[in-house]
Amino acid sequence: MNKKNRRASGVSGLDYDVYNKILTRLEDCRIRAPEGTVKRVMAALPEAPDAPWFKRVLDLWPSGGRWVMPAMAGAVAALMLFAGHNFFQINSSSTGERVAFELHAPDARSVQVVGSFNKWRADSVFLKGPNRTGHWTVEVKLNKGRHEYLFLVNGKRWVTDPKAAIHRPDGFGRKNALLVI
Amino acid sequence: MTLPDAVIVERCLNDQKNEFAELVRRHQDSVYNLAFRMTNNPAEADDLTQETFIQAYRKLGTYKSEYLFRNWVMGICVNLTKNRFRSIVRRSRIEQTHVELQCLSDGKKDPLIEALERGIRKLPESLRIPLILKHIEGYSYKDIAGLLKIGSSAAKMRVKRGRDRLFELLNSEMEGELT
Repeated sequence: MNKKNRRASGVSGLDYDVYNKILTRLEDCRIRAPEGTVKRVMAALPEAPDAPWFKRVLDLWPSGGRWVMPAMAGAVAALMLFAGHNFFQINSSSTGERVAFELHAPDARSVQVVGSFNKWRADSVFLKGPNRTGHWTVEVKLNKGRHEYLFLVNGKRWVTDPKAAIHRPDGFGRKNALLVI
Repeated sequence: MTLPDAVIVERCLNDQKNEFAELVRRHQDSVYNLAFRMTNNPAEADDLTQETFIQAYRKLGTYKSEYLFRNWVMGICVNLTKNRFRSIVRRSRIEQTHVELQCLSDGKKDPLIEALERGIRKLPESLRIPLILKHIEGYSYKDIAGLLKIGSSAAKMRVKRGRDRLFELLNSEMEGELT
């Protein structure tokens, strides 16, 4: 502390030079660790230091071909995650508007709606039916925008929606139904 | 011949566990001193010292020889104290346990040194620890900054403020004795 600081702190009485000397003496004065510290520490030590993290990770890998089952389980889990992600993607479009699809197909065994909103993937949105009048129906939440779609009957036959207001050629000789929300 | 700390660490990592005793012997006073100053409680400081060395031994594989072992182990002590003994620090500030202090140099008690010790105990932790590290453990400002995870200028400022505050405390104590 220089003279200016000394004045600023407003302290008086003890001479700062004396204080400085005392402070210097502190360097030689430390509190001693209690007797037997070394013994107590050594008694409490674990068998060996922890292995580095990468070694611990490697140790997790089973040896002697026992990795096949965990690897397969991992692959299945990844596949399920992927499938779940796709499923969720369709449902995630469920934040938009509710749209009803309907097709009259009294003799069909199954009817799906496949379109740009589910990336033209089959086996994702199935219509329920047929009802008494031979209609298949489903409600799907779609985001705002422009959606093209077709019905897939019995998993084989592509059918356009006859009730759609707009149709446009799909480039394969058929006409996609066009829905604008 | 005294082996460097880093060499002893290497030996410990090569299944020579007993070599670790030498590291404890060398640094136990520094660690205990710091732990005591942070907790103001000899029993807690003793536990903390043991825990510091046990954790240091566990993490020995992460120690890098380009750093001083003492700084590394003191860092563990600071972190342990801050993380796990915060409540004890607060409690012990109220208790202010009386401790028989011993000087490593001559073992004699000096009234001025005792007054200084009392002053140090009254300092807030944020000023006390940098001051102890600087004036008792002889750390550089850079090392203090590294240990406390603060900037060098902040370390310098804290040591200075600690010194000034201590000076004020010492003065008021001496004036109190005179009146």
